[in-house]
Amino acid sequence: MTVDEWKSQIRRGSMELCVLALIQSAPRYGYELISSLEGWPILSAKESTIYPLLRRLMKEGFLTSFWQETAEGLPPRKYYSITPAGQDYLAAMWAEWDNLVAAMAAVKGE
Amino acid sequence: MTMETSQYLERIERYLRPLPVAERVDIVAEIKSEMLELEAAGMPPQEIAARLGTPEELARGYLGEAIVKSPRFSLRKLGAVAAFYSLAGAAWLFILPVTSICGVSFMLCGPLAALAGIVKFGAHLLGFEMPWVVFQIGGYTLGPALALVCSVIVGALLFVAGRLLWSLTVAIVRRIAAEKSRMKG
Repeated sequence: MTVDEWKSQIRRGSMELCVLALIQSAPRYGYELISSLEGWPILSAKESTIYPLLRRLMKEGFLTSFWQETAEGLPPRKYYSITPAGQDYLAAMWAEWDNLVAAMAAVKGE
Repeated sequence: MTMETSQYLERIERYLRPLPVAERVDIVAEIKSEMLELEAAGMPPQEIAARLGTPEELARGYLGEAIVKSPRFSLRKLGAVAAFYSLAGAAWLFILPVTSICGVSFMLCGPLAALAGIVKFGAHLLGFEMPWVVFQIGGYTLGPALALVCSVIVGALLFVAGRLLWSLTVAIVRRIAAEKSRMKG
Protein backbone atom coordinates (compact mmCIF):
# COMPACT_ATOMS: atom_id res chain seq x y z
CA MET A 1 0.00 0.00 0.00
CA THR A 2 1.32 3.42 -0.91
CA VAL A 3 1.09 6.40 1.40
CA ASP A 4 -1.48 7.94 -0.96
CA GLU A 5 -3.82 4.97 -0.58
CA TRP A 6 -3.39 5.15 3.16
CA LYS A 7 -4.16 8.86 3.14
CA SER A 8 -7.33 8.31 1.17
CA GLN A 9 -8.44 5.69 3.71
CA ILE A 10 -7.90 8.16 6.53
CA ARG A 11 -9.76 10.82 4.61
CA ARG A 12 -12.69 8.48 3.98
CA GLY A 13 -12.79 7.52 7.65
CA SER A 14 -12.79 11.12 8.89
CA MET A 15 -15.13 12.69 6.35
CA GLU A 16 -18.34 12.22 8.39
CA LEU A 17 -16.69 13.90 11.34
CA CYS A 18 -15.39 16.81 9.22
CA VAL A 19 -18.74 17.43 7.54
CA LEU A 20 -20.75 17.29 10.78
CA ALA A 21 -18.24 19.53 12.57
CA LEU A 22 -18.33 22.20 9.84
CA ILE A 23 -22.13 22.15 9.73
CA GLN A 24 -22.34 22.39 13.51
CA SER A 25 -20.60 25.76 13.51
CA ALA A 26 -23.10 27.15 10.96
CA PRO A 27 -25.60 25.80 8.40
CA ARG A 28 -23.75 25.26 5.12
CA TYR A 29 -24.49 24.29 1.54
CA GLY A 30 -22.69 21.57 -0.40
CA TYR A 31 -20.40 23.68 -2.53
CA GLU A 32 -19.43 25.78 0.48
CA LEU A 33 -18.44 22.63 2.40
CA ILE A 34 -16.40 21.31 -0.50
CA SER A 35 -14.59 24.64 -0.91
CA SER A 36 -13.85 24.84 2.83
CA LEU A 37 -12.42 21.32 2.82
CA GLU A 38 -10.23 22.22 -0.18
CA GLY A 39 -8.37 24.56 2.17
CA TRP A 40 -6.88 21.45 3.81
CA PRO A 41 -5.42 19.22 1.07
CA ILE A 42 -5.55 16.08 3.22
CA LEU A 43 -9.29 16.58 3.74
CA SER A 44 -10.27 17.74 0.26
CA ALA A 45 -13.08 15.64 -1.22
CA LYS A 46 -15.00 15.69 -4.45
CA GLU A 47 -18.68 16.38 -5.11
CA SER A 48 -19.26 12.67 -5.76
CA THR A 49 -18.18 11.94 -2.17
CA ILE A 50 -19.70 14.87 -0.27
CA TYR A 51 -23.19 15.07 -1.79
CA PRO A 52 -24.03 11.37 -1.31
CA LEU A 53 -22.57 11.55 2.22
CA LEU A 54 -24.78 14.55 3.08
CA ARG A 55 -27.82 12.65 1.82
CA ARG A 56 -26.97 9.62 3.93
CA LEU A 57 -26.40 11.71 7.07
CA MET A 58 -29.80 13.29 6.44
CA LYS A 59 -31.51 9.89 6.09
CA GLU A 60 -29.88 8.77 9.31
CA GLY A 61 -31.39 11.79 11.06
CA PHE A 62 -28.12 13.62 11.83
CA LEU A 63 -28.80 16.51 9.44
CA THR A 64 -31.79 18.42 8.11
CA SER A 65 -31.88 20.61 5.04
CA PHE A 66 -33.66 23.69 3.75
CA TRP A 67 -33.59 25.57 0.45
CA GLN A 68 -32.78 29.24 0.65
CA GLU A 69 -33.01 31.97 -1.97
CA THR A 70 -29.85 33.98 -2.54
CA ALA A 71 -29.79 37.73 -2.84
CA GLU A 72 -27.43 38.12 -5.81
CA GLY A 73 -29.71 36.52 -8.38
CA LEU A 74 -28.00 33.14 -8.02
CA PRO A 75 -30.06 29.92 -7.88
CA PRO A 76 -31.40 28.87 -4.45
CA ARG A 77 -28.98 26.88 -2.30
CA LYS A 78 -29.64 23.79 -0.24
CA TYR A 79 -28.39 24.37 3.29
CA TYR A 80 -27.76 21.63 5.84
CA SER A 81 -28.03 22.06 9.59
CA ILE A 82 -27.30 19.62 12.39
CA THR A 83 -30.05 17.89 14.45
CA PRO A 84 -29.86 17.05 18.19
CA ALA A 85 -29.10 13.43 17.19
CA GLY A 86 -26.31 14.77 14.98
CA GLN A 87 -24.92 16.79 17.92
CA ASP A 88 -24.80 13.64 20.04
CA TYR A 89 -23.18 11.63 17.27
CA LEU A 90 -20.62 14.38 16.67
CA ALA A 91 -19.76 14.63 20.39
CA ALA A 92 -19.29 10.86 20.55
CA MET A 93 -17.06 10.93 17.47
CA TRP A 94 -14.92 13.76 18.87
CA ALA A 95 -14.49 11.80 22.11
CA GLU A 96 -13.26 8.79 20.12
CA TRP A 97 -11.06 11.04 18.03
CA ASP A 98 -9.36 12.48 21.13
CA ASN A 99 -9.02 8.95 22.37
CA LEU A 100 -7.30 7.94 19.13
CA VAL A 101 -4.96 10.95 19.09
CA ALA A 102 -3.90 10.27 22.70
CA ALA A 103 -3.34 6.59 21.95
CA MET A 104 -1.32 7.39 18.82
CA ALA A 105 0.85 9.84 20.78
CA ALA A 106 1.48 7.13 23.36
CA VAL A 107 2.31 4.58 20.65
CA LYS A 108 4.71 6.99 19.02
CA GLY A 109 6.47 7.61 22.35
CA GLU A 110 6.92 3.88 23.13
CA MET B 1 -27.76 27.55 -18.26
CA THR B 2 -25.39 26.25 -20.96
CA MET B 3 -26.17 23.21 -23.09
CA GLU B 4 -23.33 21.26 -21.45
CA THR B 5 -24.88 21.85 -18.04
CA SER B 6 -28.36 20.73 -19.04
CA GLN B 7 -26.97 17.63 -20.78
CA TYR B 8 -24.93 16.80 -17.70
CA LEU B 9 -28.00 17.10 -15.48
CA GLU B 10 -30.09 14.97 -17.85
CA ARG B 11 -27.52 12.17 -17.69
CA ILE B 12 -27.42 12.26 -13.89
CA GLU B 13 -31.19 12.12 -13.78
CA ARG B 14 -31.21 9.08 -16.08
CA TYR B 15 -28.62 7.16 -14.04
CA LEU B 16 -30.51 7.85 -10.81
CA ARG B 17 -33.80 6.43 -12.10
CA PRO B 18 -33.91 3.61 -9.48
CA LEU B 19 -34.17 6.22 -6.69
CA PRO B 20 -37.59 7.64 -5.64
CA VAL B 21 -38.73 10.58 -7.81
CA ALA B 22 -38.72 13.18 -5.00
CA GLU B 23 -35.19 12.23 -4.03
CA ARG B 24 -33.96 12.29 -7.61
CA VAL B 25 -35.47 15.72 -8.28
CA ASP B 26 -33.86 17.06 -5.12
CA ILE B 27 -30.43 15.64 -6.03
CA VAL B 28 -30.54 17.14 -9.52
CA ALA B 29 -31.69 20.52 -8.13
CA GLU B 30 -28.78 20.55 -5.69
CA ILE B 31 -26.19 19.75 -8.37
CA LYS B 32 -27.79 22.27 -10.72
CA SER B 33 -27.50 24.91 -8.01
CA GLU B 34 -23.75 24.35 -7.74
CA MET B 35 -23.27 24.30 -11.52
CA LEU B 36 -25.15 27.60 -11.94
CA GLU B 37 -23.16 29.12 -9.12
CA LEU B 38 -19.89 28.12 -10.81
CA GLU B 39 -21.21 29.40 -14.14
CA ALA B 40 -22.10 32.73 -12.57
CA ALA B 41 -18.57 32.91 -11.14
CA GLY B 42 -17.30 32.67 -14.72
CA MET B 43 -16.00 29.09 -14.74
CA PRO B 44 -16.07 27.58 -18.26
CA PRO B 45 -18.37 24.54 -18.78
CA GLN B 46 -15.49 22.07 -19.32
CA GLU B 47 -13.94 23.07 -16.02
CA ILE B 48 -17.26 22.71 -14.21
CA ALA B 49 -17.69 19.21 -15.62
CA ALA B 50 -14.12 18.29 -14.69
CA ARG B 51 -14.69 19.51 -11.16
CA LEU B 52 -17.89 17.55 -10.60
CA GLY B 53 -16.52 14.38 -12.19
CA THR B 54 -18.40 12.38 -14.82
CA PRO B 55 -22.16 11.91 -14.35
CA GLU B 56 -21.41 8.19 -13.95
CA GLU B 57 -19.02 8.85 -11.09
CA LEU B 58 -21.47 11.13 -9.31
CA ALA B 59 -24.39 8.73 -9.83
CA ARG B 60 -22.30 5.82 -8.55
CA GLY B 61 -21.67 7.80 -5.37
CA TYR B 62 -25.41 8.18 -4.73
CA LEU B 63 -26.36 4.64 -5.73
CA GLY B 64 -23.50 3.18 -3.70
CA GLU B 65 -24.59 5.03 -0.54
CA ALA B 66 -28.20 3.97 -1.12
CA ILE B 67 -27.26 0.27 -1.43
CA VAL B 68 -24.64 0.07 1.28
CA LYS B 69 -26.56 2.05 3.92
CA SER B 70 -28.26 -1.10 5.21
CA PRO B 71 -27.96 -4.72 4.08
CA ARG B 72 -31.77 -5.06 4.11
CA PHE B 73 -33.40 -6.10 0.88
CA SER B 74 -36.03 -4.13 -1.02
CA LEU B 75 -37.17 -4.18 -4.64
CA ARG B 76 -36.02 -0.60 -5.07
CA LYS B 77 -32.57 -1.65 -3.95
CA LEU B 78 -32.47 -4.38 -6.58
CA GLY B 79 -33.02 -1.60 -9.14
CA ALA B 80 -30.21 0.41 -7.56
CA VAL B 81 -27.89 -2.61 -7.75
CA ALA B 82 -28.75 -3.08 -11.42
CA ALA B 83 -27.98 0.57 -12.13
CA PHE B 84 -24.83 0.37 -10.04
CA TYR B 85 -23.34 -2.61 -11.84
CA SER B 86 -23.89 -1.00 -15.20
CA LEU B 87 -21.61 1.78 -13.91
CA ALA B 88 -19.19 -0.45 -12.01
CA GLY B 89 -17.01 -1.84 -14.80
CA ALA B 90 -16.71 -4.92 -16.98
CA ALA B 91 -15.52 -7.52 -14.45
CA TRP B 92 -18.54 -6.95 -12.20
CA LEU B 93 -20.97 -6.86 -15.08
CA PHE B 94 -21.13 -10.66 -14.83
CA ILE B 95 -20.78 -11.30 -11.10
CA LEU B 96 -23.18 -8.72 -9.66
CA PRO B 97 -26.17 -9.73 -11.82
CA VAL B 98 -25.61 -13.39 -10.86
CA THR B 99 -25.35 -12.77 -7.11
CA SER B 100 -28.19 -10.23 -6.99
CA ILE B 101 -30.66 -12.11 -9.20
CA CYS B 102 -29.94 -15.54 -7.64
CA GLY B 103 -30.19 -13.93 -4.21
CA VAL B 104 -33.61 -12.45 -4.91
CA SER B 105 -34.96 -15.54 -6.70
CA PHE B 106 -33.84 -17.87 -3.92
CA MET B 107 -35.42 -15.63 -1.29
CA LEU B 108 -38.65 -15.76 -3.29
CA CYS B 109 -38.57 -19.49 -4.15
CA GLY B 110 -37.78 -20.63 -0.60
CA PRO B 111 -41.10 -19.54 0.96
CA LEU B 112 -42.99 -20.66 -2.17
CA ALA B 113 -41.55 -24.18 -1.94
CA ALA B 114 -42.53 -24.40 1.72
CA LEU B 115 -46.00 -23.04 0.90
CA ALA B 116 -46.50 -25.69 -1.80
CA GLY B 117 -45.61 -28.43 0.71
CA ILE B 118 -48.04 -27.01 3.28
CA VAL B 119 -50.89 -26.70 0.76
CA LYS B 120 -50.37 -30.28 -0.46
CA PHE B 121 -50.34 -31.63 3.09
CA GLY B 122 -53.39 -29.56 4.04
CA ALA B 123 -55.30 -30.89 1.03
CA HIS B 124 -54.27 -34.45 1.95
CA LEU B 125 -55.66 -33.95 5.48
CA LEU B 126 -58.92 -32.67 4.03
CA GLY B 127 -59.17 -35.82 1.98
CA PHE B 128 -58.23 -34.88 -1.57
CA GLU B 129 -54.91 -35.26 -3.35
CA MET B 130 -53.04 -32.78 -5.53
CA PRO B 131 -51.18 -34.96 -8.01
CA TRP B 132 -49.83 -31.87 -9.82
CA VAL B 133 -47.88 -30.80 -6.72
CA VAL B 134 -45.18 -33.43 -6.18
CA PHE B 135 -41.88 -33.64 -4.36
CA GLN B 136 -39.57 -35.95 -6.30
CA ILE B 137 -36.09 -37.17 -5.42
CA GLY B 138 -34.79 -38.86 -8.55
CA GLY B 139 -37.53 -41.32 -9.57
CA TYR B 140 -39.02 -41.52 -6.09
CA THR B 141 -42.10 -39.44 -5.25
CA LEU B 142 -42.58 -38.55 -1.60
CA GLY B 143 -45.92 -38.93 0.20
CA PRO B 144 -47.71 -35.76 1.42
CA ALA B 145 -46.31 -35.84 4.99
CA LEU B 146 -42.72 -36.42 3.89
CA ALA B 147 -43.15 -33.86 1.09
CA LEU B 148 -44.22 -31.29 3.71
CA VAL B 149 -41.10 -31.87 5.81
CA CYS B 150 -38.76 -31.88 2.81
CA SER B 151 -40.27 -28.81 1.15
CA VAL B 152 -40.06 -26.80 4.37
CA ILE B 153 -36.40 -27.80 4.81
CA VAL B 154 -35.52 -27.10 1.18
CA GLY B 155 -37.46 -23.83 1.31
CA ALA B 156 -35.57 -22.71 4.41
CA LEU B 157 -32.22 -23.65 2.84
CA LEU B 158 -33.08 -21.75 -0.34
CA PHE B 159 -34.12 -18.70 1.65
CA VAL B 160 -30.89 -18.72 3.68
CA ALA B 161 -28.83 -19.14 0.49
CA GLY B 162 -30.72 -16.20 -1.03
CA ARG B 163 -30.02 -14.01 1.99
CA LEU B 164 -26.32 -14.92 1.86
CA LEU B 165 -26.10 -14.10 -1.85
CA TRP B 166 -27.82 -10.78 -1.23
CA SER B 167 -25.36 -9.94 1.58
CA LEU B 168 -22.55 -10.88 -0.78
CA THR B 169 -23.96 -8.47 -3.38
CA VAL B 170 -24.03 -5.63 -0.85
CA ALA B 171 -20.49 -6.47 0.28
CA ILE B 172 -19.21 -6.39 -3.32
CA VAL B 173 -20.89 -3.03 -3.95
CA ARG B 174 -19.30 -1.65 -0.78
CA ARG B 175 -15.91 -2.92 -1.93
CA ILE B 176 -16.22 -1.40 -5.41
CA ALA B 177 -17.45 1.92 -4.04
CA ALA B 178 -14.45 2.05 -1.70
CA GLU B 179 -12.01 1.16 -4.48
CA LYS B 180 -13.40 3.72 -6.88
CA SER B 181 -13.11 6.47 -4.34
CA ARG B 182 -9.54 5.41 -3.55
CA MET B 183 -8.55 5.60 -7.21
CA LYS B 184 -9.64 9.19 -7.53
CA GLY B 185 -8.47 10.09 -4.00
